[in-house]
Amino acid sequence: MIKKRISAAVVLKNNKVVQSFKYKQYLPQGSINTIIQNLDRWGVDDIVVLDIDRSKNQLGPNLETIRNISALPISTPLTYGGGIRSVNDALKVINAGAERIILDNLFINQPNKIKKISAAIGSQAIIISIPFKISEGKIYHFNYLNKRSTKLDFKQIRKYGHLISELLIVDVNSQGSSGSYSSEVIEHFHSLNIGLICYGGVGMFKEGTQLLEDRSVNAIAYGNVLNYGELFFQKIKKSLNKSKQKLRRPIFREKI
Amino acid sequence: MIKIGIVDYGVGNINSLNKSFKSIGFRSTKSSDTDELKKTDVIVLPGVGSFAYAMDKLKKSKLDQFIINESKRNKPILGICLGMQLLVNSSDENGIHKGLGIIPGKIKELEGSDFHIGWNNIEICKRQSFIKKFNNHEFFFNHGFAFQGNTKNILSKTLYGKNLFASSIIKNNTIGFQFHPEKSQKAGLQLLKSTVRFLTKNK
Repeated sequence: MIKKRISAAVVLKNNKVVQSFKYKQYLPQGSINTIIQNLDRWGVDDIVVLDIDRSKNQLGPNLETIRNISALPISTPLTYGGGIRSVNDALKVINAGAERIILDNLFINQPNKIKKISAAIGSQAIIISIPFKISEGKIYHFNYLNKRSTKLDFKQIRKYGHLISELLIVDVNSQGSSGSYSSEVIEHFHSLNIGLICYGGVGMFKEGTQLLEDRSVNAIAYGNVLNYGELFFQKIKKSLNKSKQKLRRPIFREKI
Repeated sequence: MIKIGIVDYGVGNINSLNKSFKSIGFRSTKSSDTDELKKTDVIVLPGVGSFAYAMDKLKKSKLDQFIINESKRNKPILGICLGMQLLVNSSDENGIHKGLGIIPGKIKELEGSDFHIGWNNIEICKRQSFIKKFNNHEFFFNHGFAFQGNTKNILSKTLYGKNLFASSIIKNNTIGFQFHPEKSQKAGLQLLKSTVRFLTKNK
C-alpha cells in the first residue's frame, strides 16, 4: 500500500537555510549540508528545497546547491523549487540531482510552458506551488513577488491538471507557526483530483492526523519545527501513525 | 573491483546514482562514450522524464543500438525508473513510442490516469536469492505508467489502488526497477548492492 508522506521543507534565501515566517521574516538556521544529512538520517520521506529569492532576483534555479546536495551521502528523494523559467531550466534541475520540480511563478505568468516541461521531464515530476490566503471564506492566491493576493483561479489549475502530479498548497498566514493550518481549504481542491501536499503551520499531532485522513492529501510538509530537536521527526511520525493512513516508519541511518 | 557504467544521455539524475554505487563499494563512472561503457561490468540506464524524450536522446546519441547490442552479448544491464521502461518494446506515454525491446512488454498508463508517487512495498514473485529478502520492503516510486508483459519476466509486483503492476522485471542478464533504489534509503542501497552482485556473479 502506498504510504502518505511526511516531507521536510528546507527554505533557502541568499543561499542560506532560513526559518521562514509568513514569507516576511527570516532567521538563519545553519549549514545546508548538515540539515539535509540530518533529514536523510532521520528517514524523512522526501526533502523539498524551496529557494525563495531565485525568481525575485531572476537568478534561475540554484543548480550549484542542487549539485552540492546531490553529492552528499544521502539517499532521500529531492524536490526543488525556485527560479525555474523554462524547459531547459527544468531539465538542468533534474539532471543536477532532483527527482521533481516545483513551479510557482511560471505557472501564474506562463502556464503554457507547463506542457513543454511535462513533455521533457514527465508530469510525475511537476508540482505546482499555490501559496494561499483565506478571507471571508474565499481563497486567494498570494504572489510572494509582489505581495499581492488575487482570487485563486481554479479553472486554470483544472485546465493544466493533467500535466501536473501534485499541488503544494501553502498557508501563507500560518507559515512558520504550528497548529494553525487552514484545513478548511482542502475541500475546495477535492474536485480537481490532484494530490495535495499541505505546508505552512500544520500541527504536528491532531491537525496533521486529520489532514492525512483526507483522500486528497498525499503529504504534509514540515519545515522549521523539524529542527527544534533531533527526535521531533520521529515523534511526529509516531503520533501521525495513529491515523488510519499508515506512514512509513522513521529510519535511522545504519551501516550498509 | 566491479565497475558500473551509468549511461549519460542527458536524462535523469545520474550524479546520485553514481554516488550511490560508490557508497556501496563499487567503482562507478558516468559516460556517453560507448568504448568507456564497454569496459564496465554492468551498464545502468537511468532516467527521469518522458519516454519519447528519453528515447529520442538515446537515438540521437546512438546509445540505443549500443545498449541493444550489449544485451545481445549478455552484458548485465540495469534500468531504473524510466530507464526500466525504455528496456521494453513500446510505451503509450503521449502516443505510441518504440522502446529498446530487450524485455518483451509494453508500458501502459496506470488505471485511473493516476500518478504513483511515494513509498510503497514490493511483493516478490520470483524467489531469486538476490531479491527475495526484500519482500515487503518499501521503495520510492515516482511514475504514472507501468509495465505490462509476461509473468515470467516479472520479479516483483506492487499494489497501488486498482493497479497491481510489475515493480521490477528481469530477462536473462537485464533487470529493471520501476522505483528508485538509489533514493530509497537503507533498503534501496542494499538492493542495489545485491542486484549488482547477482548480475556479476560469474565475474
